Amino acid sequence: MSMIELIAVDKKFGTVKALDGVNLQVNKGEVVTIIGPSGSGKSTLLRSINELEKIDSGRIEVEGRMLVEVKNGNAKHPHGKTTRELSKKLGMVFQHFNLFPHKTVLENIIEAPMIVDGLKRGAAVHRALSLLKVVGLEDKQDSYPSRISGGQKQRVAIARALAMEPEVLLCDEPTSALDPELVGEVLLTLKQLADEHMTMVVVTHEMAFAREISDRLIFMDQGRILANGTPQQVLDNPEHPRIKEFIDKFI
Amino acid sequence: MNYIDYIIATTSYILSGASLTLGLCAVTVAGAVPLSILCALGRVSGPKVIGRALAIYAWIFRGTPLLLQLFFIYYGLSIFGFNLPPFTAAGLTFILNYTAYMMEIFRAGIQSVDRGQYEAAKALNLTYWQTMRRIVLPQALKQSLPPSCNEAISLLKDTALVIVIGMGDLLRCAQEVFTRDFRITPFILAAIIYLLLTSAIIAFFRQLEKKLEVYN
Repeated sequence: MSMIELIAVDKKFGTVKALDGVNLQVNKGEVVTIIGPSGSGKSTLLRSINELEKIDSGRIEVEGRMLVEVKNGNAKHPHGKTTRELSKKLGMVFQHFNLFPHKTVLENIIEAPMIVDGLKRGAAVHRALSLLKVVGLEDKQDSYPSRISGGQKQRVAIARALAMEPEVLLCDEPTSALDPELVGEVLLTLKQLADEHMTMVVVTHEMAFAREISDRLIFMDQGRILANGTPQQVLDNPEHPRIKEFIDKFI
Repeated sequence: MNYIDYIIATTSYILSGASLTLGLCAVTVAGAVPLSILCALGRVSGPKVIGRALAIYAWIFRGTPLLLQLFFIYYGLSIFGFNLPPFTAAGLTFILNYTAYMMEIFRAGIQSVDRGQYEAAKALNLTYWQTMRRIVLPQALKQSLPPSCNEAISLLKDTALVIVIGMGDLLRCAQEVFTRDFRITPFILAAIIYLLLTSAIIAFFRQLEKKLEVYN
């Protein structure tokens, strides 16, 4: 079943084409990783899925239902209730974590379930604590984000996203802002989720990780998808010279 | 009457005027703080017309003397038949004036909040108002505390201007005693009371800042 579908999506920043006729389908339970040189549009692609970037044209669907469609510069959204229902299926993890600094780890996680979903505090805390256990940070629930390491912040951010019980987790370079020794713990958490068949779309520079967890690997360059296949197909026998060039830099 | 008794009597008289000073401050804070937060939100995320109108409002009220504004609202409006009682006129003037300043302080505070905070809130499906109330404003207000402390101190001292519309505030009471006795003591006492009050303001803000420092 198609979880997310992008159809002919274009996005320009000034005169630069960040997304150039991108078509992409992500199936339920699938882990899709997007790689490519910086400026290739991979973050823009991810961010346009939950409308952090407004697309210039094309259509985005979640579970086969239209989330946004832009034709001739006119954006069309479904009914407000449907939009909320669909965008609630999308959770997001950011490169710079974007934790709420004025809230403790626990408060960060229970905020949206309580405020958006109207969950009672007790139930929200219960959910948050079990998620903190999953990411291995039960002992940090009362810490403020400024008091924990980058890797811990990102794991809290993952727990915060999961607290809304999304169908898909979008991860925008989740380890790029981390010190090298902290990358592992975050990748481990993500791998754990992948193993539990969480649908995930991950933009990353971690090639070994991408190879290990991905069902499908996407290579992007200049706003286009140049390759879309299993990690073996894309990495081991690169068809496109740009991909070969890119991969060679990692060896 | 010995000097100690004189000081006590004078102090208690001056303090009777302080109630008006503090009352006016309280009214101004109660009006200007919520109003300026709303105006700041209007400037940051409202439609262009509203942003423009608020910018013009700030330009006028920050660009003309508070004393002139007080004259305008108390004496000027009476020409058009609006005879406001002095306290109402003073309260209105101070609220309008201080909202103009505080709006700019809160605007800067709101704009200092990282874009990632909005994105995280959006990704978690918080609405605009939820994002502002729960995520952005708490951080913005914290940023705004030091300049707000300055404004609070200014406000306390600016209330002395109401003498010109015949109101009996702290300073006016001191002046009356001075005129009667021709002694400098009432002025010194007034200065001490002002200093104590501003010290209380500073202590209050320091306490507040300290409390919010936990997450730095």
